[in-house]
Amino acid sequence: MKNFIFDFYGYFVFFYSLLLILIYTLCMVASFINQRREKFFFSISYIKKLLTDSPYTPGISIVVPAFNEENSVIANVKSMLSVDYPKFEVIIVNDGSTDFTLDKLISSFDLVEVPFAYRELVKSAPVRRILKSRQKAYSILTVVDKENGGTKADASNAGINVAQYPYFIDTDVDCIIEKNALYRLIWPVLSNHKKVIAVSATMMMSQGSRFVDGRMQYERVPHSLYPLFQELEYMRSYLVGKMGWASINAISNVSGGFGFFDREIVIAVGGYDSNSFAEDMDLIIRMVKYMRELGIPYKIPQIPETCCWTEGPSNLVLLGRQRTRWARGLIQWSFIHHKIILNPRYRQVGMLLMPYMLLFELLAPFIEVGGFGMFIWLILTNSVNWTTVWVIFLMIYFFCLFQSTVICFFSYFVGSTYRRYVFAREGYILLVIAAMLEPFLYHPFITFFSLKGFFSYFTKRNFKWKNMSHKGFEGDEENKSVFVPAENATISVVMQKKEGEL
Amino acid sequence: MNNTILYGFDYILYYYYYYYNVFIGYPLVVKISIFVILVSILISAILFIEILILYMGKIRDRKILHYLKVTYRDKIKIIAVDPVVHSVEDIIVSLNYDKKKPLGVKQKRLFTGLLALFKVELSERLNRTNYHNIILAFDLIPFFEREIQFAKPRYRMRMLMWIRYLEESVSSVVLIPQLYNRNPQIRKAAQATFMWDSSADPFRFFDNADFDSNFRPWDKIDIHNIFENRLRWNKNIPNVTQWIRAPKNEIVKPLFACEIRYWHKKDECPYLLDTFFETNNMELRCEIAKTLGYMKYVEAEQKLISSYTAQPEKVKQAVISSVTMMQSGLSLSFLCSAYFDAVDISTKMAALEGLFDYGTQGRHEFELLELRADMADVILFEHIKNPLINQQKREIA
Repeated sequence: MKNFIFDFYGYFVFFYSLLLILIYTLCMVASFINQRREKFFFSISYIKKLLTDSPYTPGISIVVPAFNEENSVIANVKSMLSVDYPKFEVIIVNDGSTDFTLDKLISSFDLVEVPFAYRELVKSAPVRRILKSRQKAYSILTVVDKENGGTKADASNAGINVAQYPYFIDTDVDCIIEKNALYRLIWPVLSNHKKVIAVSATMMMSQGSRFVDGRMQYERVPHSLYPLFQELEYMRSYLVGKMGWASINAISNVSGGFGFFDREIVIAVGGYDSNSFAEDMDLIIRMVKYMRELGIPYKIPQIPETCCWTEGPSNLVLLGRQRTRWARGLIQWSFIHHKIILNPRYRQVGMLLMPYMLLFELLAPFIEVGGFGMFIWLILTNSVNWTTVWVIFLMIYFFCLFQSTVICFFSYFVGSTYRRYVFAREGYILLVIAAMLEPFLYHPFITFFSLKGFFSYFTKRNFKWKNMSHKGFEGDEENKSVFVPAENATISVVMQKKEGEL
Repeated sequence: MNNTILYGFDYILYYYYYYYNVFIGYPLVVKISIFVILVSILISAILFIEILILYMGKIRDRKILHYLKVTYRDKIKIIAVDPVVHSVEDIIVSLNYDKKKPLGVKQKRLFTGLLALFKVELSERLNRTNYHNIILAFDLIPFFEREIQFAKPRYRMRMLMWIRYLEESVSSVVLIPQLYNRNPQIRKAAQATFMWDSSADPFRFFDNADFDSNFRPWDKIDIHNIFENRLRWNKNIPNVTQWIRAPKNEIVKPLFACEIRYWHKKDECPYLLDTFFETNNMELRCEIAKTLGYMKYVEAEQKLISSYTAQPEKVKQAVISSVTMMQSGLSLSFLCSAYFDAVDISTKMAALEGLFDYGTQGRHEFELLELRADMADVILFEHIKNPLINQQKREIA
């Protein structure tokens, strides 16, 4: 019986891995086709020219929640105000900061309180006041001062209520937006005859790159370990995963770090759920459900070009916090939306995406740990067939390397600035080295954090959103030479959410 | 006796069959794993070579671009901004361009991009005739035509865009086959170029029954740009009422109502007014109401007001905005009752905005209403009066 269980599990894990390899391969092919199509029919200069002159150019609101960001907020708001697009506004939501975030904004941008007729279209904590600048140069800036709602979702909802344009971008204060990002984001909306309800944009790590006055000057892969692995992970997720899923219109998530949404649809589904740990995934699924239930054809595309740089967790502790929260969010999301799984009414989302998420995102850590435990048991009982073990290990390892080569190729193909330094340390060489080390130095931790997140969800342990200390533009010692800080920054995000409030 | 059995290619065959036989003897799990490993290594190697090829291609392009810039950039810029007209022959001589050794296809593609860049850089100072003559001097028109006919879809598509960007034209004979291209992107771009340039029934596509099904928001921007360019080049734009009143293509109709407003075609107002009452397309109704207001077609005012109560909220707001724009001085009581009767806060605000912008009388009425307003409504008055909030609103409008 024991042998049967071990054999069965061994075969199960093998074919499970094989199926995953097949899905990734299909995603790569679909992604490549998708990228070719996007690349060949997109001409930024032509689009810019027409949108600048046209009365039909849709406006975009950039919603930026900020909590205790006094060190970086001014430089980043200035960066957002200088984005290239003919019709946009920037809405900073001060989520009850306890430091000088609001005071700095008021003094730097000459803000005064205005009697804004605030309408709570989606739920958020009470708004104290709304401020506008007296200077014409900052007329597109609105600052919402509200009571702390405990989550980013709550602050984003307040920003959505104030937004004036039909589309909005939800981003973070520590994000640097690419100069032409808004043109890139609006293009899928304009060029589709189906309704585009959201657009997912590619984000990269800001560590390692050089920014001057909030503008990218020199893009380089991070030279510190964990941001480097995360860069690789982001590239794989955006350029292969999301691009691939987008080709069958089944994106699971438009990142809360930088996502583009149709405001009307977001309001119709009730905005972000501030009780969710994966509010971005939750919002997208609710939007998809809404469109499917009304029978309106819709699309959620993915943009392969980098539109935004964000600062990823720079050490294992911060990474652990982030990934534990993501894992909690994933499991919560799966329970909330379980009715979609294998429901033909939701087509590719119900029949393909949700089962994939369940099998390969949610269960993967358990299967991995189970497999590892079984392997140790087999070693101890001296019943391992080492030839088979080595062959299977090499299969997975070489496939991982292959996948990393593919993302380097995709990145080069879509025109990433890394391609200036193809064979230099700044370019793909580091990414390939990281790909070789990732299974040993990074992936085990990610599996551990995921399991920790699942465990804390099931045991209902008191979960708090803790400090996510960002180093800002200053960077670490190793990267100091390449950063030119507009203002040195140490961002401290304290977001606390008690389980009892949920 | 010679012991050597294998020669040349036989070695490859021998080892192929040897490994093949070893391979089929393995268990299924090992076979699959080896297959995945080999495929991964092979494709990775191909991709690295592909990156290398793309990299070399980039370097080659950069060299060509550098050559073009060094050889022609400064001279072209001087000619392009010179108020004195240079003939094609003069340009050939002054650029020292050898027609017997013309630029290659790749060079011409890059050169076209370079010309487009100059056009942006020199936009205000550009002498159109000289700029056109530069294009003729390099024989770019036949090149454009060849690209549209025979190039790969990506270059074909790009060329259709470049032609409009450079404000050049190509023969209809070249464009017509592309109007029915299987690729919808190319078809759309060809149709846009054809509408932009042709005189032979250029707007025939609006009559197609399926024009709506492929209509994208971008087409609105494109069509507007086409009308704008045609007028700039003293070409006529069509009377769009025919398509507004046609029974098909409901999605595109609001665009035409907007275009009437934009080009200030007041003659078409009576037809628009009739359509306002006939159509069930609410978006079209909104646009018609705004257009009638923008063009101060006061004959429509009472009719719009009388239909007000039966309209959905968005149309109500459009009627309020229309009446406000007309500024006839006769609708003060209507705006007041619109404020009192509004069930939707956006309609209420639209009515108040209307009053605020309705001349001295309207402003006076606004102030009187503010004095009588209940606590919940006071903020609406404050909001509308505030110049810092309205500054942005005006810009949006």
